[in-house]
Amino acid sequence: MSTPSLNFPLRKPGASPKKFSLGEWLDRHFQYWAILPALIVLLALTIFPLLELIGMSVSTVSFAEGKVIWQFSGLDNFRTFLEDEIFLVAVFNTVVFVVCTVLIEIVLGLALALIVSQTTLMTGVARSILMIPILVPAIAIGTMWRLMYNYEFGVFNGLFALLHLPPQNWTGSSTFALPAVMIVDVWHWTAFVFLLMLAGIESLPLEPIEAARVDGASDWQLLRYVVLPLLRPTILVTLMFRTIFAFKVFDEVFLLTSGGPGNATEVISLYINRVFFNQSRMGYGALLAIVTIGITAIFVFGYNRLSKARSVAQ
Amino acid sequence: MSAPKNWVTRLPRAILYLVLLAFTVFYLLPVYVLLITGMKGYTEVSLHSMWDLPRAFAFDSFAKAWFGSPAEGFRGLGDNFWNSIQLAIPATIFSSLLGSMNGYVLAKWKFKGSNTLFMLLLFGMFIPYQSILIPLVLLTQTLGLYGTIPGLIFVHTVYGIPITTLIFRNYYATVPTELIEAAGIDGAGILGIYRHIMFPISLPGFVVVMIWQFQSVWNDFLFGVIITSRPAVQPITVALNNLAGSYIVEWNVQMAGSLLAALPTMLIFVFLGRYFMRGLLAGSLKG
Repeated sequence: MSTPSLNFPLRKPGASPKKFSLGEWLDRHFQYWAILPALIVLLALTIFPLLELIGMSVSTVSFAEGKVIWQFSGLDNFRTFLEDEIFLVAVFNTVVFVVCTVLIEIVLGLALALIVSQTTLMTGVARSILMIPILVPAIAIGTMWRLMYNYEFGVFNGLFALLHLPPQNWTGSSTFALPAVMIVDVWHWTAFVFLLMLAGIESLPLEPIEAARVDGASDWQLLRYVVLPLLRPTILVTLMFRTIFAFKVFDEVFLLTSGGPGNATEVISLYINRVFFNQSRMGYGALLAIVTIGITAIFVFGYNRLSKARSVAQ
Repeated sequence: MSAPKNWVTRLPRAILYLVLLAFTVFYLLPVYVLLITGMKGYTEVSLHSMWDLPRAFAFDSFAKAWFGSPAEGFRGLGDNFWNSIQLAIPATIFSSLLGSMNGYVLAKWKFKGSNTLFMLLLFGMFIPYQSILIPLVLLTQTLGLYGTIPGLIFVHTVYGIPITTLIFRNYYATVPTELIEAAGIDGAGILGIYRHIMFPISLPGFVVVMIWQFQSVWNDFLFGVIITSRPAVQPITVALNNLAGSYIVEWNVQMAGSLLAALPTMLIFVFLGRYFMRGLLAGSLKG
C-alpha cells in the first residue's frame, strides 16, 4: 500500500535553474497535471452531483417552460419517505436479491475454481466458456433469457412439459419472477467470481498445503483448515465487489420484468429510476438516492472493518 | 495456460469432469438457444422445434435485424452499431490513458492528499449511477453535449477513470522504485520516466484495461438510454432494447440482433482473450 515517495531533485544535470522552459515546467509538475483532469471531472461528476442531490432532497423540483424550478420544502420529502411502502418493498427485494445471488455465486464460483484447479484437460475450455456471460451485453442476456422463460416455447416450460407439469408464466408470476431474475444474475456473474477465485487459488503458497498433506490431512480437512483460510482475502474482495454491484442491479431486472408483476421484482435502482424519470419527482428521488449511497457506504465500511479485524486476528 | 497444480485431490477425476460438464451445459444452454433461434426462419420458432437445429442456415434474420424493416415499421441496428464503434473506441483510449497516468502518479509520486484523492476516485466506482443521472443530464446539457455521441464518450471516459486508475496503480506498484530512481538520476523527469519506462512496460496492462473498458462501454445500457434520446445517435444496446421491446419483432430477429450486439466483444475475446486472461489472472484486478 505504501510505496515510499520519491524525493530527488528533478532537474536535468547542467540545466540552468533560472531559465524558464515550458517543457521542464510541465515535466516537474507532471504529477499535478496528470491528476488534475481526472480530479476536475471527478468533482464535476461525482462530488458536484452529490451536493446537488442534497440540495434537491429538501426541495420540490419542477419543470416549467423549459426551466428548472427549485422550491425549498424542508422535510416534506423525508416525511414521504417514512410513509413510502414501495421503497420498503424495494429494499426488501434488493436485500433478498443481493444475499441470495452473491452467496450462490461465491459458493458456485469457488467450487468451480477448485474443480478447475484440479483438472488439466478442460481448464482452457472451461475458462473460455465461462468468459462468455461477462462479455455479452446485459441487454442481449435479457433478450436471450426472455426467450428461455417464454410461456409458449421457452426452455423452462419445455422441461416442465417433459415432466408433465403445467407450464408457468415465469417472469409474470409474483412467486417466480424474483427467483427467475436471480437465476439470470447467477448465470451472468458466477463466471466473474470464478475467475477471481481461480486467480487466488493459483497464487496460493505451496508449503502449507504440502505440509498438511505430509501430516495426513484428508481432502476435506485440507480445504477447511488450509485452503479456505488462505483464500480469505480473495473471498472478501470478491464478496465486496459482488455485493456492491449486485446492489446496483438494474439492466437484468429492467429487461426481464421492469419490476413487475406488481412490485414483485421492484429493486432500489429501478424504483429510484421510476421516481426520477417516470414520475418526475426529483426531490424525492434525490432523497432516495442519498439513502442508497448511505447504505452502500455502510456496506463498504463494514467490509473494511471486517477485513481489518481479520488481519489483526491472524 | 496450465498453471502448476497446488495440490491434487484424491477424488476420482471422472466426478470432477462430470460436474464441470454440467456447468458447461448450464452456461452454454442459453447461448445455444440464442444461436439456433437467430438462424431460424419465423415459422420454425415453436415449442416443439425449440431444441432442433434450423432446417437451413438462414441469415435472413440477421439482414432484417441489421437493416430493419420499413414495412413492419422498425429500425435496423446497422447505424447504431457504427454509433457504438464511434463511441467505444475513443472512450476506451481516453479512459485507459488517463487511468494509466493517474495510476503512475498515485503509485509512484505520492503527494499530500494523494491517498485521499485515491479514495475519492474509488468512491466514484461504487456510486449507484441512477442517483446521479439527473445532475449528469443537467451538466451535459450545460456543456452542450447532451444527446450526442461525444457526450457519451465524455461520460464513459470519466466513469471509466476509477477502475482504470485502480488497475494501473496496482500494476505500477509492482515496478521497482529503484528503476525509477535510476532513470531520475540519469536525468529523466517524471514525464520522461512515464513515456520511456512506465508506458512501454505497462503495455500488457493496457491490453487488460482496454478490453475491460471496451466491453463495459460497448455493453452499457443505462448511460446510453439517459444521454441519447434520438434513435439516430443511440448505441446498439439501446437500439436492441427498442427492437426487442416491440412486440411486432419476431424472436428470430431479436436473437439475431442480440448476436450482432455481442459480436465485437466476442471477436475481441477470441483474438485477445489469452492476453486478457493472463493479465487478469496475474492479479491486476484483485483490488
